[in-house]
Amino acid sequence: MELLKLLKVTKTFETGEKCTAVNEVSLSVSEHDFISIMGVSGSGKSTLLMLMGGLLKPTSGDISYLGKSLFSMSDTELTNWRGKTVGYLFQNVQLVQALTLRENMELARRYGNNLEANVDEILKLLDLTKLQSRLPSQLSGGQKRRGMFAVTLVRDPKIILADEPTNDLDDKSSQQIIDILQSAAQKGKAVVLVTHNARWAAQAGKQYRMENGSLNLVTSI
Amino acid sequence: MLRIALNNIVRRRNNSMLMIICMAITVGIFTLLWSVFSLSNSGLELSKSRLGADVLVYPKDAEVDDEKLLFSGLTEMVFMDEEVFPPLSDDLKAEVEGISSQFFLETLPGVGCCETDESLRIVGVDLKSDFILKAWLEQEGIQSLSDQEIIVGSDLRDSIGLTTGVTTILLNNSFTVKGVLHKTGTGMDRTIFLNMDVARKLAAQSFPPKQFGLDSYDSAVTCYLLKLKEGTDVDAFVEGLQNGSEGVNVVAVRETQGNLRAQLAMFSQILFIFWIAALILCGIALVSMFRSLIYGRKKEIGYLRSIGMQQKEIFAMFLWEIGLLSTIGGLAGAVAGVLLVNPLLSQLQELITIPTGEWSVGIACLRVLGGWGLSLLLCALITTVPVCKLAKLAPFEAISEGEL
Repeated sequence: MELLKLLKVTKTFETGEKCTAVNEVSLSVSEHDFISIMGVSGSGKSTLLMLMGGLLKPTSGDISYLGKSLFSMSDTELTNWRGKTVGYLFQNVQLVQALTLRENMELARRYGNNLEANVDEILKLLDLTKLQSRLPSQLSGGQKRRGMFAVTLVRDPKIILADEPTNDLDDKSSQQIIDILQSAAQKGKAVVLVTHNARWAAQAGKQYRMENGSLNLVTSI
Repeated sequence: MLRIALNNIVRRRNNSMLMIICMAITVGIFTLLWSVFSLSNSGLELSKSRLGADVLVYPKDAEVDDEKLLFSGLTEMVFMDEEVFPPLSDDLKAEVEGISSQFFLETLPGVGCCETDESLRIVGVDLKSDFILKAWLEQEGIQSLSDQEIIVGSDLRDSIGLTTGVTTILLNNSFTVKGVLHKTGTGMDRTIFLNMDVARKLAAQSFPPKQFGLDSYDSAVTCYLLKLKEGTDVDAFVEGLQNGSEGVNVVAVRETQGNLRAQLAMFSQILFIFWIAALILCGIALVSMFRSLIYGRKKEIGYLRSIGMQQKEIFAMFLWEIGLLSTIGGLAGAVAGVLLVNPLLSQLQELITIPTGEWSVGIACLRVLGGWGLSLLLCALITTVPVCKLAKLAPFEAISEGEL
């Protein structure tokens, strides 16, 4: 089933001079999809992900979820939609600094799809059980990133948008993350992975390349 | 939201402490100055309504002035002979409703009374002619005082526990407290009243009259208080009385109160300027601290919006956090301010005469609430606009801070 549909989406920033970060991108994201988007820095990958997550409004074009345009929703509706539908793994780790890892997960769970989601299970899956009582500032870069991933999983979102989720991680941990993303896609979630690492991108079912704001399909399995 | 706010306060301890201290200083100074100001003003008002006398006559060679005699509870002993007070002309006599004399003496510090090192003022009164205590005595159903009975000012009950029925030693004589006066805002609040004859006897036992240039205390008085008839021109009366006598000072109580009011107004202005300066300095510090607390968490807000937190929840979260910080700082400052009222007043009363009104636990609690209210108002003024702006910020803008 098609979840998210982007139709000729363009995003232009006007800070001094006009810059088109995303140029007429059309994309369909369905359940079980595992999509990777590669591209050099500044090619518009992160902006595209923000647009898909309803965090940013396109300059033109439309983004719809199950046929309903995201930007016809009120701010409250859109925020609710984000909480229940989109799990966003930011490029820079974002957590509430005053909450422990476990508290961050419990907070995120309140806004997600599954209020009964098992925090302990997810902590165990990501090998974070021993770190659950630590504040984000007490975690290493890799631990933080896994923590961010745990916070995303606990919300049980329908779409996972992962922006360079393997940054700061060693190969083993990176592979673990990719495996979890793959497994999520197999369980019916849609996963969009933005990465500049060809090895991780190659494990996705659909591989796209982003160049100067345009999205081009490279491979589809 | 409250839990997040609490965690933010506890786990960002250093920032929180700085903000709390800054708020406490601002509110503490405000509460302290406000309390002192209102206490002195209410003291003046009380003295107007409860002193009852219009004119004060006291020895010209007294080292104390009328302000101190009326308002300070000063214990200096000063006397004149009854004969020094000039006989009133028929014109003046017609304007007088009552004349009452008083005899002042002091307890000896440390040994005189009530296990206090303070020297207390004892005033002998002639209850037959007295109109100062009259209303209170009638209200309490007290017709007379025996030679072993005293009446005390309200401050003495509050400070050294002289309550009704308590027996105490004054200048080696035992007395029982017959009653405690209402607060007057004058020196009466720190005065012990007894019969004039008993006061004279006490004086004779402890202070040789010769040291005051007297042969005996039998006809000595410290001052006369005059109550004039309704509609009398007090100033003209004072002038008329003063012209007829050289050995005494004649002053209108109203004039003394006016002088005191003017003095207090000037003093209040200085306090106000001091508070404004403190408010500006602490205000600047608070603004920068609160703004950094809010804007420093821009990315966090973006993240919270991305996981589904609504604008109003973010607003509430900040409100809780800032409100709690302000409450802790505000209450701490207000309590400290209230606790410092008496020490500050004692210091100030050594410099100038300050009448004091009622100061009770209830009033102190009101001042604390006022201080807390100020802290919330300050926090609302400083933070509402930035918090609103930030809560409404598009998640992308908050997350990226323009990095994309």
